[in-house]
Amino acid sequence: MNVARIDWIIIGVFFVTLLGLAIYINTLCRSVADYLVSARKVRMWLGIGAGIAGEIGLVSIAGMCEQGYRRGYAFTLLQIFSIAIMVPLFGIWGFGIQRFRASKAMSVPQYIEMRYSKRLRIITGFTNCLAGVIQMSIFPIIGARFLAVLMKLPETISIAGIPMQSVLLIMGLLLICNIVFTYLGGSITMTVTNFFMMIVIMGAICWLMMHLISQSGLQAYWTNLEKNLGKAAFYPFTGTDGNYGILFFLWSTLMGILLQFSYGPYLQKYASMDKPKTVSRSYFLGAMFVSGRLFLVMGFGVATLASLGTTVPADFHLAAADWGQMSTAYYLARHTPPVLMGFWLSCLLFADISSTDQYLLSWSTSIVNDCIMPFRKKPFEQKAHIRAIRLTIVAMCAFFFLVGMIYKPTMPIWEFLWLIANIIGGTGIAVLFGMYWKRANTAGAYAAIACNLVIPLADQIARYIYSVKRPSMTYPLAPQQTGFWAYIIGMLLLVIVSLLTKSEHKYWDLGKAVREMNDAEQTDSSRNPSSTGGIQ
Amino acid sequence: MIQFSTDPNIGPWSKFVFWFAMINTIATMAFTLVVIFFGFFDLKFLFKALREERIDVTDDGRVSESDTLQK
Repeated sequence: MNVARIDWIIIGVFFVTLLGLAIYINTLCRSVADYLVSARKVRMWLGIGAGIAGEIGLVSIAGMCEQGYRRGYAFTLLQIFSIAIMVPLFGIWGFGIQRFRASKAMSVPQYIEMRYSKRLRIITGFTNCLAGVIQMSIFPIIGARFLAVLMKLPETISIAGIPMQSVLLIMGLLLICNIVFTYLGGSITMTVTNFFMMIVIMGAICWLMMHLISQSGLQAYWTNLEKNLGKAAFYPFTGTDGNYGILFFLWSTLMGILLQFSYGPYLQKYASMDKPKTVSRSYFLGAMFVSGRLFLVMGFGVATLASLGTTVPADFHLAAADWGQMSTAYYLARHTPPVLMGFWLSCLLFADISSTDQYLLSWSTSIVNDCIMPFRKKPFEQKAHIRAIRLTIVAMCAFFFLVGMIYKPTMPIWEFLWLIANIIGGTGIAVLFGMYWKRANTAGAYAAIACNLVIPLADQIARYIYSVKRPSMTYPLAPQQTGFWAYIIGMLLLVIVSLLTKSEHKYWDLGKAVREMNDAEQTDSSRNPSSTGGIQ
Repeated sequence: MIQFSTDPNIGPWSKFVFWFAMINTIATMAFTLVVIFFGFFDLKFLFKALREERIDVTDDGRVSESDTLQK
């Protein structure tokens, strides 16, 4: 193991401090709204800070490093196009996201019930939770494998004479940390602790990047990237094998738009903000600076490629197929000195806690509110409601542990996460059309959601069968083909079915609600400047 | 600052991506400091608001009659 005593002390100090903070904040949580959406009192800068930590998960760090190693900075151009579309759309006009906040819904399925029907809320709750849980199920095992390679852990560790697989041990510890932090205070704890975790995460990422560049030299870093990948390191549309391509861009952009209206963790964050305008402002500032974080994290993968090239080292003890995913961890294990390693491991631990907790809270809320509560004649008492969410969190973590024990990768991490997110994106179609198109009805919404449930799941099953039956051959469909066309078909179905069936809509003008809420806040602040704290 | 590939197929893209990545990375670092600074003010506001908050027991994710009245 290459973790020094000083590194353990650094991790311990950070962890105990944040745990103490979480325990204190738990005393401030008094209602379901506190636990789920921080009583809707989160303002812009705090929302952005907590959001940064929530977006950089351990699994996304592993995924971004893998992309950097495989494709260099080819994502840059896609990112520029994406920003050019998304920032005006959401950050300036607040398209859809301000309307969702104005609906005062806590979750997507709640909005679905308000706009369409209770039955569709239950179905949406189930499909979104299913997708969210499948997607999340690989978080702990990927994170644990990344950490095991980084820490140079042996395959088995003996604890009190009992041999245990080190990856399973780490996965178990990560899940316990997730349970502890989500259990204490829910959304309020997450918002505050994520803010402090963001400071550690960003500090460690910047420090590590500077260290790696200073070790190899910026010239060698860049020249080796050029030599290893050529034009494909910078240009995503070369058409070479493994390059992103135009369809990938269209898919990821459409996905990015639809997930703003359907991805539980995003919308729970929006629901916790104090007014609709704060949602678009925080989106604007967050999106403008997301590229820098991507470059920093992908930079670790690029540094690995520049230093090690594409050949799998002889002492890499996992399967050669795992090299792309684990190459950066292997490289960093050999190039991170003590103290920095302590900060880097703290960063990874907090990245895991901050993002997994956000997802755990979001999906457990959805399971309880959308899949259990509609079947109860009498609503939960406040404490029983929170207890039900906490028990769901524990059950989900137990499920993740079991999945981790049998997990076998069939595609790069990012593409797996995105293809599963396609299922959730189907709900986004129903929400988007529901907010802006009066004619959209329940039957059309059913069609869009069903289409985006069946196609990605069928793709995953077929992909798995293919990998078992024909292990030497590549699956003929790329994830972007499946994902993109599932969305297009879903949208067409919603429009056609809505036009062909009876109009039974519950449309109301959310645009008016947005204006009223934003204006009300302005009036309040002009009457009493201290009510907004004079910060925004 | 650094030498880029002389291959006309790679060089211009390499140079563009380098500067874009470099500027964005530095801007992100500076922005993070701004977020941290102002975030502490918002934290103070959150704690104050939570202490003064009045609890609404019906605000638990249910869709009630009053929710439909807004339509």
